[in-house]
Amino acid sequence: MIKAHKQHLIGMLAASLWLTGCSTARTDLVNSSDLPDYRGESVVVMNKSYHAGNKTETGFTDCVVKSVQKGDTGLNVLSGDEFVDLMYPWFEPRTVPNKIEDMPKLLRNPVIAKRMRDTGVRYVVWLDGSTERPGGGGSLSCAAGPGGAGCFGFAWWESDSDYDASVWDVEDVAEAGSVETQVTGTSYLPAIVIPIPLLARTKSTACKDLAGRLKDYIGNSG
Amino acid sequence: MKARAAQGSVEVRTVTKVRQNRTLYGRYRITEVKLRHVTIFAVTALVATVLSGCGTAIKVRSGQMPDAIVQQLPLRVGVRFDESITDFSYQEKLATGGTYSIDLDDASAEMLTSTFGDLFQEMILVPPGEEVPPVDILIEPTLSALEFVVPSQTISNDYAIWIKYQIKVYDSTGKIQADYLIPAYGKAPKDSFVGGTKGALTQAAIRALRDASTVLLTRFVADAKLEGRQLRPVQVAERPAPAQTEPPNEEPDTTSDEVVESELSEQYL
Repeated sequence: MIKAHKQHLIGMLAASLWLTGCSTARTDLVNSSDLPDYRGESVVVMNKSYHAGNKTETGFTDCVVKSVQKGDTGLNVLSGDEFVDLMYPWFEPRTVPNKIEDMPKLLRNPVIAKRMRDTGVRYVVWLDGSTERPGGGGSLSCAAGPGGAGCFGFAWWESDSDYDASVWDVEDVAEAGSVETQVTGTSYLPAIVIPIPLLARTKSTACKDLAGRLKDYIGNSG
Repeated sequence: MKARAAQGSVEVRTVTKVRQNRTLYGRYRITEVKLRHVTIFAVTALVATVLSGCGTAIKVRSGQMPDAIVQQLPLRVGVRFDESITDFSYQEKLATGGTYSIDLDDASAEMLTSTFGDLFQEMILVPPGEEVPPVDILIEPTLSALEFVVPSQTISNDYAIWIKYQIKVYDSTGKIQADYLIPAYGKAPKDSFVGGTKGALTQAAIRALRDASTVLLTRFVADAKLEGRQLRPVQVAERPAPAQTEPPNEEPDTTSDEVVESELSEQYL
């Protein structure tokens, strides 16, 4: 019984420590312009093309999509995959417009322009950036044998989550604005028999921060 | 390992050799587990270990390609696939470790059938060895190369696949009109897809197939040197024989040509 309580205590302690990271976030709203009222049109959130060297993780994009949909002020989001299929083959990694200046050329084709209108998408949000691990150190070793297993040591690493989102207004064929988020943090992993991770959840913080800004920006501007 | 069955329990003695020539001895007891269960577990673990040692094998299906937003070219085309398109597989043992097997099966055929179906007003699949029916052009695609890289080779997070198709285009008289290569590329990060390594490699292959389709849909006319041709709308009901399609003394239908050129310029932006 006492053993079970101890296990619970250790579990709760580990869980609470897990949640406490050491990170700092900085978000910049740049190039903002007056947006017309958001009238419930769809927003599509996509990664910039990997042909252009973008490394944004799929998990990060999914996180942003879920976050901007949440709540009373959640945006009406069309799935990126669905949008790309509807616009096929003009938003494929090879053909996707890399800058807003390429859009008028694309929309000059009446069939493509009509399909774009039919999707109901007003804003296209392009995500760029990634989470890197620039440094770390320490030493930690684990061993397992018939008598049990355990770890001993201390390790740490830094995480930099640097993302930006460009918002294109498809109706006006103009870049409506962009949002940048930089989150840096250091995670620690001390281990005396049991490793206790003290994780700086920079990617998750960046996702929530960026999504919150996007929601405010698209939903409330104008 | 020495195992001895008892009534409802198993006693296992172990000897574990570790680094630095040290040897650990241990003993533990598993209660209420019959030896039969241990045997099943051991056999299962052994089979799993053997299978995992076989490497990574994937079978790719291109799946349902989306309908393409392109102006259909007013051509009746014949398309003839060879074995590289209908049944292709590739295996490679990497120097960095592991054997990878990529089975495209007929995924290329699925992709090309869908693509040419979107691109041309009428498409006829011509089985190998059979006579070609009257067509404006005959297309013979082959898969000429497939390459891939895995994260351990590039110290990155991505699986990437390159597929190269060779496309030969013949005119209605059987004379070769174009012979060119289509390079296609697909990339997928290792930790973003269900199925781990297999899922990411499969996704990279599907993306490469889709990329090949994109190249064909957006560049075929220019690459196949069709822009200068006098393309005419297909007249299926009263189609003349191939030799009679362009009588040397007949005036070209300039009205039709203008329409086609307009469509092509729209399509290729």
